[in-house]
Amino acid sequence: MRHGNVTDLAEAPAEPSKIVVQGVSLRYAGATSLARSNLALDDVSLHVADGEFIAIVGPSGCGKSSLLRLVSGLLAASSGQIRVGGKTVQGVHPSIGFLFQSDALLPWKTALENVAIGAVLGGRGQDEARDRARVLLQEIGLGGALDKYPSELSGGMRKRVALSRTMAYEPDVFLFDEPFSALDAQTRIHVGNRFLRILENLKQTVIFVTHDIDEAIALADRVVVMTAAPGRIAAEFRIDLPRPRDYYQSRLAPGFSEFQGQIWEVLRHEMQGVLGHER
Amino acid sequence: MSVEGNGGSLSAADEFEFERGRRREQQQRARRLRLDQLVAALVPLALWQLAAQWIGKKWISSPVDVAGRIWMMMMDGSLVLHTWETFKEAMLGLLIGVVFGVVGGIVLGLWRRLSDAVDPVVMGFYSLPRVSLAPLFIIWLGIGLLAKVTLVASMVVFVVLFNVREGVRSIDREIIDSFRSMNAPRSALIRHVIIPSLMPWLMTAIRIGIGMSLVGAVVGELIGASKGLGWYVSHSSGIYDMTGAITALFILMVLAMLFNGVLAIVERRVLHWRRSNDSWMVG
Repeated sequence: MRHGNVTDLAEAPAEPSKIVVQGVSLRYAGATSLARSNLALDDVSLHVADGEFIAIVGPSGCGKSSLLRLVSGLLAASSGQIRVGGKTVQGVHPSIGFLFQSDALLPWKTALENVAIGAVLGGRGQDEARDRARVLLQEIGLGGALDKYPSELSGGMRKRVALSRTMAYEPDVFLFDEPFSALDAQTRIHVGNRFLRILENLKQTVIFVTHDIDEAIALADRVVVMTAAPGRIAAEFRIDLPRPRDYYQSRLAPGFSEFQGQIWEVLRHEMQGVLGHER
Repeated sequence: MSVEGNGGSLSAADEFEFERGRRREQQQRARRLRLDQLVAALVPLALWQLAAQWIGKKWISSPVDVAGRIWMMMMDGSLVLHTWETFKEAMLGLLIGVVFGVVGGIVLGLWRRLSDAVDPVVMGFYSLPRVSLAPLFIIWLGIGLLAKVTLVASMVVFVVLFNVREGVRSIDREIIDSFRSMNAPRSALIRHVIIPSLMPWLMTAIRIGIGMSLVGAVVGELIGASKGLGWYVSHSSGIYDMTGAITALFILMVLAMLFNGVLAIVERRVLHWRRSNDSWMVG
């Protein structure tokens, strides 16, 4: 929950965006020459408003995952600047929750313990952390799996545990790196809907990286399309479908297929570039 | 999809009943297994006793004679003396080998360049039959405990080193990153991620190391010693005392089984989180 625009303005004048990415480039680790071929990201600029949900799509290898790592502070940009909540990102930013492609759960801890760790790292005491973890898991429909180890859970359940852990950390920015890519189609719809419900209620700022155009449109307020490597921003689409949305049903909403067509047109153009290089 | 649903179709009571049935079945299976194992141990003993009558105790002794010898050795204290000596050599060597192996494995696992540089040399030493070093160690360090401990450590250290190095390299990057992204302090990272990640690798290394440690201790004793089970084997053979030689071998076997038994218990404690999916494979 974030109010207090007044104080925000006072602290960071002319900073209405929660996340500001300004002229950011990223050179591959170990690259010595300044040649453009060594660039993973090339002069990327992006503004994300407080509470906005944006999705990033792009050909594989376009640096969209690197962009998330830059925003979180896990990776340092070669040039350019990133600000989150008005603060320049230098090292790991404290109020960012990152959900990875793999669920990144600890196999030696139960679902409850895994989620509680998020709360502990977020600054809660042990007992409070466990209570909070229990509540979060119950809310996400895993009240019966508290004491199960990740190896005993299905892929979709593990994703839900991973989201609960991130929520237990209480970030005000969520970064998602293709979290559903390993799930089968039905599970993806089920888990996608769970995520959507929770994120729409939280009203926090979200950047969601995916390679699935439909998913991007269904989830986001804005879809950002990136170019093939070196990654730049090719186009942006404001998705004005009404909320609350449904991960699957929104595809049937009027206007959806237009977005699909437009985004695919941009992407196809980019992918031709990639394929052309390979030939 | 049935697993995925909210609560699933199994009620709590069903699940409880199912769980109880499964446990009962597991208990029965465990009991049957113990019986099978007892038979599998007794049959060779009986065959041995029979063979002893045919071939002659002079060559292969017999279970009854060996049992008698064990009793005798218990009475005169030599059982404890020799077993304790070999146990000490193996355990100290194993401990030292594990410590050096863990430290070396972590350093090489983290420092790729160093690891690549020393790899041929390390592989060379690893491939060298360490047993052939035994005479050197005896000359350098005497026929006492130190030479055997060194030999055992030299055998154990490599397997631990390779396993730990591989363990360090296979730590899940995304787990590390997810911890880093939550600003986890280094201590939390080591306690919750690094150490548990290395445990399965270390346990495997120790399991192999236990076998090696006994080989090292016994070989050391065969070459130069004044006590220990290896010495007892070589001494007995020297005077055609087959019962003595086989008794020492039997005690060595029991020692190895004890080591493995203890390790299995430790493993179950440390790697309890793995058991849940193993049970499917064992069943």
